[in-house]
Amino acid sequence: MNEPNNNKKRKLDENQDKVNLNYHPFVRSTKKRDVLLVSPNNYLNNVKHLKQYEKEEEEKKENSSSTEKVSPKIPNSDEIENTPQSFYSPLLRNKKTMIIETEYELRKKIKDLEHQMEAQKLDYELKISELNNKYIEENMNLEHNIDILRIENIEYEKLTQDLDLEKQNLETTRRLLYEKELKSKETIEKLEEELKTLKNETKLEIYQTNNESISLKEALFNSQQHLQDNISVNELNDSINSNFKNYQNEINRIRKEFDKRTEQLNEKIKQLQEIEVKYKDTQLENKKLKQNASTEEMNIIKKELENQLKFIRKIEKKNKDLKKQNDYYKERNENIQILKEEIKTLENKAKAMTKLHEKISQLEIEKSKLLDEHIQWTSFLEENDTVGFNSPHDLAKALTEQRIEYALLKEKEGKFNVKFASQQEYINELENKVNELNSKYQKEYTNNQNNLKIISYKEKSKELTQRRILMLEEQLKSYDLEEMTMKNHDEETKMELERKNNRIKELQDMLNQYQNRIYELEKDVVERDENKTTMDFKDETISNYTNSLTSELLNADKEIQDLKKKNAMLLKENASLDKLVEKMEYSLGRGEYNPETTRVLQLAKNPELEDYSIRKATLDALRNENKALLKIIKKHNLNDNPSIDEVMNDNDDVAEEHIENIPIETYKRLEIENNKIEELEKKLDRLKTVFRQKSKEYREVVYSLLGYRFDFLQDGRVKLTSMYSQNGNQSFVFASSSNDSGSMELIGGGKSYIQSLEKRIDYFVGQYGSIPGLLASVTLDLFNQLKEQNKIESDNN
Amino acid sequence: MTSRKNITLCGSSDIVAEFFEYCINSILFQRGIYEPEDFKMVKKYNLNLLVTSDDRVQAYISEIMEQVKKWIGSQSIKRLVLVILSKETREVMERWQFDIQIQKNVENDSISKKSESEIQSEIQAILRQLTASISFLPILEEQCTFNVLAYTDKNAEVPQTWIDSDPKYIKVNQEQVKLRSFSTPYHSVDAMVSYRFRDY
Repeated sequence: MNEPNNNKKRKLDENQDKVNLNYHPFVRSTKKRDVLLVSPNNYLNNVKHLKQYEKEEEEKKENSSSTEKVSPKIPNSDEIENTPQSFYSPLLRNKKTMIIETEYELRKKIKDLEHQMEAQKLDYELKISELNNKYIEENMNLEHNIDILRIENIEYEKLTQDLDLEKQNLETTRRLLYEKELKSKETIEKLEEELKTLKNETKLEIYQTNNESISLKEALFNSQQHLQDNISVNELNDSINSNFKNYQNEINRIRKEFDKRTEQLNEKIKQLQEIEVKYKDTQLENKKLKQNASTEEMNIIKKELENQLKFIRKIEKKNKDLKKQNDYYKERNENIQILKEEIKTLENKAKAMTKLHEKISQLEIEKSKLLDEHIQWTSFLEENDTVGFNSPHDLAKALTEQRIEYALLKEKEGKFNVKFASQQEYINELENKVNELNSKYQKEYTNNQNNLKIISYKEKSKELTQRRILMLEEQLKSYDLEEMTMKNHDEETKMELERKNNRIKELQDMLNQYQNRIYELEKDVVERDENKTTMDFKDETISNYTNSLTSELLNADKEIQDLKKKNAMLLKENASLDKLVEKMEYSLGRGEYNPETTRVLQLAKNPELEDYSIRKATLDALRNENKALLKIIKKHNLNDNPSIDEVMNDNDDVAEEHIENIPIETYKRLEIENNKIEELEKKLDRLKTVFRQKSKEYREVVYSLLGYRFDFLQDGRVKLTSMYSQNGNQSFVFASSSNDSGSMELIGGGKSYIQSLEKRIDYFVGQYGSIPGLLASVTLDLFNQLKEQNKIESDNN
Repeated sequence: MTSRKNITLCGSSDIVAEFFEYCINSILFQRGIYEPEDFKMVKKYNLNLLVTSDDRVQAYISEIMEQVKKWIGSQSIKRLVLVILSKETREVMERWQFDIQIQKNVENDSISKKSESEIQSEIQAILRQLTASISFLPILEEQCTFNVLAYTDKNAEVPQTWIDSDPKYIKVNQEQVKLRSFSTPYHSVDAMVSYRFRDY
């Protein structure tokens, strides 16, 4: 096994010779550095490659036989001891060879050291890998533990419902955790110990290598001293110096490598630390899972424990809170049940109330009926009459009394009537008799009168005749006197006498005539009297007639009285009926109805109830909001000297409290308000559509009446297009004049069109300032143009 | 002479229901139950009448009319009342009452030969009077809403959307004015308004 190894070494030596060969010029000729720069690098690379190769080989070997690990160490020490001995052989000539030998030996040693280093490194790596494995295993275990803990945690969460049990479980889990912590602590301690040992080992190794290097240095120093002693061999010395420098360089290089290795080692250690950190992280995760997990250091463990304790306290607090809440909810539940019962009772009451309402309405109707009855009862009574009667009973009693009285009176009246009739008859008879007597008396009286008249006539005629007689006697006397006187005058007298006789005769005739006349007259009178008696007869019949008439009259009077009574009755009835009508009309106006035959219905979804429900909803919402706000105020008041529970609550639920500042009822109310706003928006939309319709209508009207289409452009300009314009640019644009006073200015339109109208514009607008005139003239023009065009077209056709 | 043709029973109930519809709309406008912007002009009975453009009110009225038509057809409605109530106090302010009577002597020539245009002019007169009645009715100072009550036979068919109601009487200071009436060959409708008189 050693032989191939040696061969290889030899090969290496040869290479190193080459290195030396190449190296010398490099050292000496620094001027040619630029040219030679590449070659040493290449060389170094080669060396590195070779070394790597070597390493690989050695690794293979070491892998094949781990027992031989220690073997390179032993010869090294021997060689180190041997080298100075070989150096001490005094021959100068041989010195060179000696030095070369020592060089070889040194190189060997260095190589050995390198090997050792590598071996150590490998060892370390192995150990690190072992440690890693262990760590991973531990980690796995821990993860497993974590999993278990997780499961336990889930269980724990499940068990939170049953808080007491949970507490116990928590304690047990805590114990378990503590145990696990201890375990993990132990493992960590183990790991630490291992790490320490590793560190120590590496330190030792480093120390050893340092020692070796020191010894080498010492050897070198010794050799240098030897060389100083041999000043004659300056050249050689120089070369040795250079060699030494080379060696130093080599050593430095090796050191650097060693440093690198150590760095690598440190890196490994760092990695380990990182892994440890990761491990801590996992432990932190464990923390998050509300478990205490082990960390490397006791402080962390303590912290964990504290955390655990805190957590447990928290849980206890929560437990308390939950209990409180539970109690609160229980109370609430009771309250709710009580409230429910109250609601039920209230509902029942409401039902009863509705029934009562029905009853009330029925009773009202009955009452109105009774009132009607009452009115009917009282309608025939005047105000004075009603005083005595408090109830229909009294009235009825009075009525019956009256009736009886009335009957009695009737009876009496009948009797009286009979008596009256008989007496009347008697009276009639008597009257008849009286009448007869009267008539007789009248007859007598008339006869008497007639007689008296006749007597008076006769007396008068007697007087007349007496006077005549007297007159005639006087005449006779006068005649006698005349006779006496006429005796003288016989003849004459005779004549006279004759005459007188004649006269007397005449007179006698006359008298006779008178007498006849009287007689006739008397006769007439008698006749008349007779006539009179017939008249009397007639009177009798008349008086009879009048009797019947008077009786009739009496009857009629009676009838009239009856009728008057009836009339009065009817008037009263009429009045009462009027009252009834009034009442009926009033009730009709009120909308009263007979609930036995009629139902009053409404649509369940009507504006009134909707409005009411909205009002009620808003009222309820406001009420609830108020309540919630009051609660908050109360809470705030309590917070001035807060109890423990509340402080806990506050600490736990800061966010919740923040929400509580604005109670949910506010949002609910806001929702209602939002609904209102929506309705208003709907209304606004409706108004807008109405406005649009109206404005469109307005425009249409203007178009049809004035012949211009109005287009409202931006910034308040108005474009007018005639109804008769044939191409689009025949339009005017107006803008309200600068002071916005409603007057308009022509500011443009179809350019060519406006130019063609310039004269007219000047005339109408410039001279008279009349835009309507301009527009009207343009309308007329366009109309005529269109007309002509149509004519031409029709002619063409 | 087309207007001379006889009106059927069904047509009569249609006329009555239509009258109610326009009547209710006019009252809602005239009494300011809804904003004037919520109404649109419609030509009917040779009059410019205002009809609500609020979808919900429209739907409500037409739902009532559908049912009223049926009730008139089955002769089970006696009276239709438009009640105006205060939103604040729920007190009844006005009752517009329309009594529906079935004509007993349909055979009577003078009535049965009544033309549609004659009926229309009668309806026109009522609606005019209705508009005029604003002059004597007290001003509604509060925000008001309305409801429609139907007085039906006890054994009338009632759909589920309808519920019993109290008759919503005017509690105090009731005044009433009888309005005109109109009649078709089958029905006659008497209008009347009663209102709460204010004694300040």
